[in-house]
Amino acid sequence: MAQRTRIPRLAERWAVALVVLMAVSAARADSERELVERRAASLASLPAVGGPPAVEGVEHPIDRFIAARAGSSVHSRPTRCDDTTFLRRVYLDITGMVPTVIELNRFLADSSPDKRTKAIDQLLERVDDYAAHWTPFWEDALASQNVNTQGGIPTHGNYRQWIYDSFRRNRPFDVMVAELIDPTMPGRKHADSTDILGTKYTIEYVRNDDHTTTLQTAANVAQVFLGTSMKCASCHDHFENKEWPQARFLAFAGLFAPRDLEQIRCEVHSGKTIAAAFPFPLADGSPDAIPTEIDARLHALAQWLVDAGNPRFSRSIVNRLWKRHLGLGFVEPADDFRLDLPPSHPELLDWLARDFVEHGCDLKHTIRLILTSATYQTTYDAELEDKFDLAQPAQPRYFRSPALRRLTYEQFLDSARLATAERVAAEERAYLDARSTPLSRALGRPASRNEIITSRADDVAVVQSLELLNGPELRELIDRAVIFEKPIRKVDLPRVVDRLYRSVLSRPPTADERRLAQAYLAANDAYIESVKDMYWALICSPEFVWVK
Amino acid sequence: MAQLTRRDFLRSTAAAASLAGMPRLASADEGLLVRGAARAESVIFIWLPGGVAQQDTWDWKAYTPFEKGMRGSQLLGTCPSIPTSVEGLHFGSGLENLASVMHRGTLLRSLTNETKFGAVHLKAQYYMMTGYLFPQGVRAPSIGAAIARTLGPVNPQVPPYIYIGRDIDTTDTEKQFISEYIGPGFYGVKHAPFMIPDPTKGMATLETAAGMSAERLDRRLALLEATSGGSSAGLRSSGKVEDYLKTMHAARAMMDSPVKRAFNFAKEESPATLAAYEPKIGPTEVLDKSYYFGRRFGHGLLLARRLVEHGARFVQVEYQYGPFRGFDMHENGAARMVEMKKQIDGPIAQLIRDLDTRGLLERTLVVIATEFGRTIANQPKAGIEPIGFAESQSGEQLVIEDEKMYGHHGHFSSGNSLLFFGGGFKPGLVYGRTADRHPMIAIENPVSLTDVHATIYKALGIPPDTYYVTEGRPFHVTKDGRGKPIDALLA
Repeated sequence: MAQRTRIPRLAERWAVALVVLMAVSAARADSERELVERRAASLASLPAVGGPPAVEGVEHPIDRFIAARAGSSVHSRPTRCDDTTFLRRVYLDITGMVPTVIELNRFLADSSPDKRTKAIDQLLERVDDYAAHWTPFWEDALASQNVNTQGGIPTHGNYRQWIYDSFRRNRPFDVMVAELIDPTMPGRKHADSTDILGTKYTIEYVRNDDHTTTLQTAANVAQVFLGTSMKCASCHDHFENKEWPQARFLAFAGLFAPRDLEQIRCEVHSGKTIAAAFPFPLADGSPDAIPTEIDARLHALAQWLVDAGNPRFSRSIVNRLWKRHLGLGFVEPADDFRLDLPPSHPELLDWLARDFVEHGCDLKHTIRLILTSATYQTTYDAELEDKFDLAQPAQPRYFRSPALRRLTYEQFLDSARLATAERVAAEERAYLDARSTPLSRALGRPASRNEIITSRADDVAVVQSLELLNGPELRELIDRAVIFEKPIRKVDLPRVVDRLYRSVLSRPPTADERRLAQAYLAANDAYIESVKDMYWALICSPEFVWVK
Repeated sequence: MAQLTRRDFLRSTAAAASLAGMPRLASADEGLLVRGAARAESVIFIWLPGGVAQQDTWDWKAYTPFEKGMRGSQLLGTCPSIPTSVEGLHFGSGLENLASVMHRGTLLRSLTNETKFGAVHLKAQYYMMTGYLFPQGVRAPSIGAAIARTLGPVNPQVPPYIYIGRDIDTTDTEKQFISEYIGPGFYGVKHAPFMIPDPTKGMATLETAAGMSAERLDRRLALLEATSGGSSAGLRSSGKVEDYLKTMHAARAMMDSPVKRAFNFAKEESPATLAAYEPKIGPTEVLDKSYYFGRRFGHGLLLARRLVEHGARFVQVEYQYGPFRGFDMHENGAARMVEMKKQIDGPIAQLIRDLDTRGLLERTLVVIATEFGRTIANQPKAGIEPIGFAESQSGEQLVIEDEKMYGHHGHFSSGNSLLFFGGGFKPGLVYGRTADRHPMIAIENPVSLTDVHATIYKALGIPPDTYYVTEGRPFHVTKDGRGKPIDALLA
């Protein structure tokens, strides 16, 4: 923030300072309480949302909403995925890694009827892995970097530890978002500052040093937390989305700045100032007045942004959670909520959003709800898989099969390491490694987080395949596999095949696969080399590279 | 190589309508007309980041030798001039080879920017590479990625976007930033450049490592195919999965492809040609010995020529940028400029001659660019002026006491030059003019980068309002689709 409390030049400056300090810390402690109280009050004032429809034989609320929409469909009924598919899916979704062979075997041996729900609950308790899996997603979304400047350009600072701790402690999502924006929140990450050629910059998520950074911050917040793409409206009226004339966006962006913003259309100054205003509905109606002091302004903004009456906030995050676990959102693109692009399941989206707020904006609550549904646990079926095509946005989606999801670089590397090294310590997780390697780039992790990203491209490319096929990083990983630490005798090969399938693909091989693999290994006297080939083929197989 | 025909183009735009990832042409009919006029099929983009002082190179200004105590306003250029093959056009000395091919080239001297980049090279480089100012809130794709994506490969076996001469540095955060703006941005890894850090060292992933052989890789691929059948066969009905497996084979094919053959220049080119692409200065003769790359740049140009011959679409060759290194000259600028010219003059001229004699210059556009110009008269201490480095100063206040500060080049966003060869640009043309005294701003036909990009795109038949959708909004190849080609530059 550009402005700081100015201490008056008085004899009793110390006394004044003390009073100010006490007032500030009281305000800080109050901000979080105020937010939580406001959440309860807003909820109480909101009209009820429709509950899940009654569908015979279906209990889970999510499944009832989904079944009600799919009722008229003539397609075949989706089937429940098998245990191995389920286990791999939940491990990758919650811990960001595949299960170990021991965990897999234990689960397969368990015959209790509620073992899936038990597994979900146990995994959600693995707080370090859960936090490790979420951290890179939010580092991308916040443009968090491990440096304060890059070639003379200030960054948005390093939020890694803050993200990790917040997820580890499962902090309420609205509180987290307010902590990013509101300087009076007690849990706020301490901002760094940096000096570049004599100019001081505050290095933090909210940057309002000038017109451009203020607009960027506002656009980033709108996109990430309100699922509303406004960047196009930053220098002219939005090309496509008529909801966002430039003035409406500038009014919103003004809330991030120490003063109202001037309208600059495509680099032409108009001299006209747009009064700051909050553009979304609130539970208690429009605010009476916009504070003029920057900290108070950001405080008010944070409270309104996460307000239960602001439908975009809660819908946007539950839509992201749904997309993260099912492959596609109710609203697509997830960054582009707009009135003319209706969600695929508006009732379910509304209900999940309200349920999320009613449970204190508890991310784990909603994740658990999604994972325990039969909808999440259906078999992957390419025929039933929903697709999203920008050219045909109104094409319905049914969620009778999850959409294939490509492993992120972090999921890929951690899982490949776990499969070969058998354990990955918390401090060895891929997200902690700031190096940008040919493999990390080929698998879609940006070299630098200098812009925000809410989804990584999951396309396939020759550069990527070359790295997998012939790059040193995967080769060395396989060479270091623990299985090679002890001599492997020829008689061990059947057991090796079984182990490779269980460790890499999280399932035993089928009889055919066993035969094929053993024939491959037996064909070469240098069978250790063939075991490495087998590792490579399984790690590069589509079954490993995607979550199905 | 075949020109895109009208029908091909129609087919590709029709397909675009059904595929979200394909380019949208805001005005399809106009697009067809533009493509019809296109001359260039391939681009070799010679990228000299650091800020080449235009007064000592292609926009020569009067030679004013060092005199202790001279005023900044009296310092206009640090080298004598030489004639070029274009009548009336003079270059700074040390560029004799390039001067001799200028009748094939087009010189633009009047690129100017509203935005003054001040001390920050990376923002200016980002702008030159993407056409957008940083930050955008979107990962902006580079011009190479945009051209490669829009036109696709010339030869399907050769990656459409190849980048030569930059380290794949894993830890330096400044270099990581650079990797982003030369990259595909939101287009995704499919449109990422094929990186060739050092052409003299070949490319590791194209060669089998110790203990590997081509046969073993083939066995592995067969095994991958076999294991991807069976119980995971259901996955293969997904188009994405099938693409993935196909791409694995494409990668394997690349290892035997024209790309690899292009690396055989040491065997296939004559000693005279190889020598012509070498720097004319040795490692011990340079002031900054830690920043001498030998044949990396020159042979990079040779490799670029060979790649274009094999069907590359867009090849960028960089003289690797480093802060206060190479073309980023502050202290001893005059002496270092002499050295840098010895590194680039021969190889670039040889590239033009080679393309010309092989009949490739018409369909190959060569661009030479840097992120901003320089002011010779500047404060010895960087970064004190809020509007940038002496963008508006006459240099009257500056007294040059130390010869180290002679040719101490400040950053100058108000005037910059670009060179073009072939590809349908008008040969022998000199366009625009800058003032002969400080500040040396563009005083005749000033142009914006957006329009320069639009001109490059037009030479390739790409309308400036071509766009791809991200986050629900169009992102155009020129800023907001508003680029206007500078037709005077085109033949």
